[in-house]
Amino acid sequence: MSQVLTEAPAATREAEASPYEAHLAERGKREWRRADLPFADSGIDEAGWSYEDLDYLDVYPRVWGRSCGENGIGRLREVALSRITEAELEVYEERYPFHEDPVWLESQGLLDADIRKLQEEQAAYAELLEQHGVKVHWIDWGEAPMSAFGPMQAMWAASDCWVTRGGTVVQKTGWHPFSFGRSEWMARWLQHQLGVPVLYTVHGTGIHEPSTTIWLAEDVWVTGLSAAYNEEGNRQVEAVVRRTCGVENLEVHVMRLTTDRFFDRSSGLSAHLTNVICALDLDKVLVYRPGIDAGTLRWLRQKGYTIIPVERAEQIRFTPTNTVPLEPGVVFMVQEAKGAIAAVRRAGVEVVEVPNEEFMTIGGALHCRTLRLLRDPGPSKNG
Amino acid sequence: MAPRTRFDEYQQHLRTKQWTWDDVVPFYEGRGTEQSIVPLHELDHLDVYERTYGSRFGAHGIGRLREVALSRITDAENRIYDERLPYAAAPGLLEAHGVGSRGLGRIKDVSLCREQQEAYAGVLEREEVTVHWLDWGEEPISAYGPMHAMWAAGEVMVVAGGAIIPKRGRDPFSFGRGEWLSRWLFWELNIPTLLTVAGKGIAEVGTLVWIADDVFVSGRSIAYNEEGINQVLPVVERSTRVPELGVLTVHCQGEHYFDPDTGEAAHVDNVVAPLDVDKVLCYTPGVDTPTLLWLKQHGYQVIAAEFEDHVRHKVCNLVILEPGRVLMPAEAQGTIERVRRAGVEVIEVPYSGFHSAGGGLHTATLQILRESGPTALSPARPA
Repeated sequence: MSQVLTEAPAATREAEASPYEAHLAERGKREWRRADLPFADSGIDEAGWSYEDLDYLDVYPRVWGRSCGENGIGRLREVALSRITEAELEVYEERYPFHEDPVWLESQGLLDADIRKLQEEQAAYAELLEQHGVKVHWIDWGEAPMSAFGPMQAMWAASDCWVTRGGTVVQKTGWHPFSFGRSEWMARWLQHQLGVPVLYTVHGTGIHEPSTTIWLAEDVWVTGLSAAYNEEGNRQVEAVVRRTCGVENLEVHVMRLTTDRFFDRSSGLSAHLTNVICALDLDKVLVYRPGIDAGTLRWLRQKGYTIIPVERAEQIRFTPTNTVPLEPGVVFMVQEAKGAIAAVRRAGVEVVEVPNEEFMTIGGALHCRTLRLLRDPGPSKNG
Repeated sequence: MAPRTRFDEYQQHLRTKQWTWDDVVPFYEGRGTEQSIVPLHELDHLDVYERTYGSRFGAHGIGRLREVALSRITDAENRIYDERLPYAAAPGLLEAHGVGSRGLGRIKDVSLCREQQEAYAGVLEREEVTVHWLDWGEEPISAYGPMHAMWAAGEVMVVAGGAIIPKRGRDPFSFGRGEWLSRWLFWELNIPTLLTVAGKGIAEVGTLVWIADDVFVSGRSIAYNEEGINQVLPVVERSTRVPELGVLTVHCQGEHYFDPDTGEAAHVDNVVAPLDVDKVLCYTPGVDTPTLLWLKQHGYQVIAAEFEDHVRHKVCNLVILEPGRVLMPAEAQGTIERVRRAGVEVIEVPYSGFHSAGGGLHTATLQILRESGPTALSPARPA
């Protein structure tokens, strides 16, 4: 059972072999056979050209000892959540100048919050995940981590390191200086601790926060254009997704979002598409229509999706689409969004309610809180 | 407790420094203003990665070499030849997989290699190059069995902003070496991975070479296919500060990594090497005619490697310290004499132990940092 957690002493943390290292040690003891070699069944040509057919997806689990990736809407198996500490509010500390100008500091929609309540909500969420068979890793950020431009914010947003099939994609943020380093921190941690490799880091002038994109099916990925994603970022990330998704005909849809910030608390609109749309089932989506471009609404209709709408009052307070699908037809939702939950249940989707009131104050909900490490392959939309 | 990694050191530095509004200048337009996304949408990764990761890295071009990593040589190098394992006794098995006398082969004298490696490190340190030692542990594991050729630390290419991790064209016992290095680089030196070659791409990136800050020599062979190089080149281009990157492509001959009878070589670093801003060393029978023409048409003096030095001593497999000064295998006296006659200073490094195992100085050296060096095509953008 999960509980409100405190940090383990640093010495204890360092003394333990990581799960990845333990796996390596275990693997080192095995007896190696010719049958372990590539093409042992099919046979290898004399000059070794068979290697041209070896896909990265076949290789990386053998290198790292595990599979990873949250593609699609198949059964969620493994996640990581952040341990919440006072470090979340370090940016308000007096030794930094930033608290002097709350207009600037809070203009993106990230606000102060009650740490104790956050911890309680996080513990409750972990417990619900575990009750539903999802393995939960805890991310211990240690002493208050620093971003490239000051105290790091939003360590609670563990989602920010995106895990796709074959590894992580490290974001390059488009709206928040105190987020530079967070995705990077988690990528380093994931690789070292859990053996999840880094596939790609968004770079150049690309901007992309890929963990806030969504999968509607194993073969349908939705990205966006907004403060959080630009054309160059999409070019870079789409290429990575296409070569690692394991699907021949991946459909990629681009949503056009509004606003010039992360979250506009007056309109409920956001740079992240996870705040206006989410998958509920293979043919059902939850949507805040005023935040969706007409082209996307048309596309959803053409694809045959049943659209369950979110009401404005709940959108502003709870961003109900910020959910985590457990599997097709079962979804974790913020428990405060009673109207949306009722609508989703009426559509035949099972809802697991998760407390998120305080996280909404600091700036996010379930999808943001959850680093989704592994899903089973799920259904395809396009056959 | 003293900081353990470069990451820890940098975090400590950030925590203890005096922060002011100047630290967020690009994003702060004065008291009471909201954060603008404009500066972030104009920010290149090259302009921010040092603040995120705490140091500069990237071994582009031929500027002064400043930082490398070398492997400690142990008996683990030859573990795949252990008679208790099923590989060496099977006729043709290792050869079909690209291992052995025409690939990465057996180290005949581990003690000699250890001594030569330590002497090489001494030379580098006397030349004010920081040397990190890679300790692979007793029994490193590859994707398909015991790992070999840990000495080949040059497997990974470090460019500004991060590392590029190869996907190999042959050799099951080398799958995982680049990944091990990526993990080490990120954990110890806080150097992230920019790209892991994936899909069916093949690109043994560490064997590609620079002959100027704006001329990169790529290849096609069993070690690089079109899909792999197409993944690598955009990342390389975005990591440079040059207005235009010239890319040469050497179409290597044959279907082996290196044939000591015929001289065929699949790795660019075994057939082309930079010597100075206008001089290169080439094993000309291994370089396609258009590449040789390009070099001569662009004013390069091409010094031809002797056949015996090529097949016996991997003479092109050298490390340039700075324009006009190179580290070369001491055994290749004939070619060294030619290089010196061209006005290039040669520092001889005994490295005979590694040649029979399939490589040389370039292969063994994980190049981490170089200063900016000369361009051949156009002036570089200031850092």
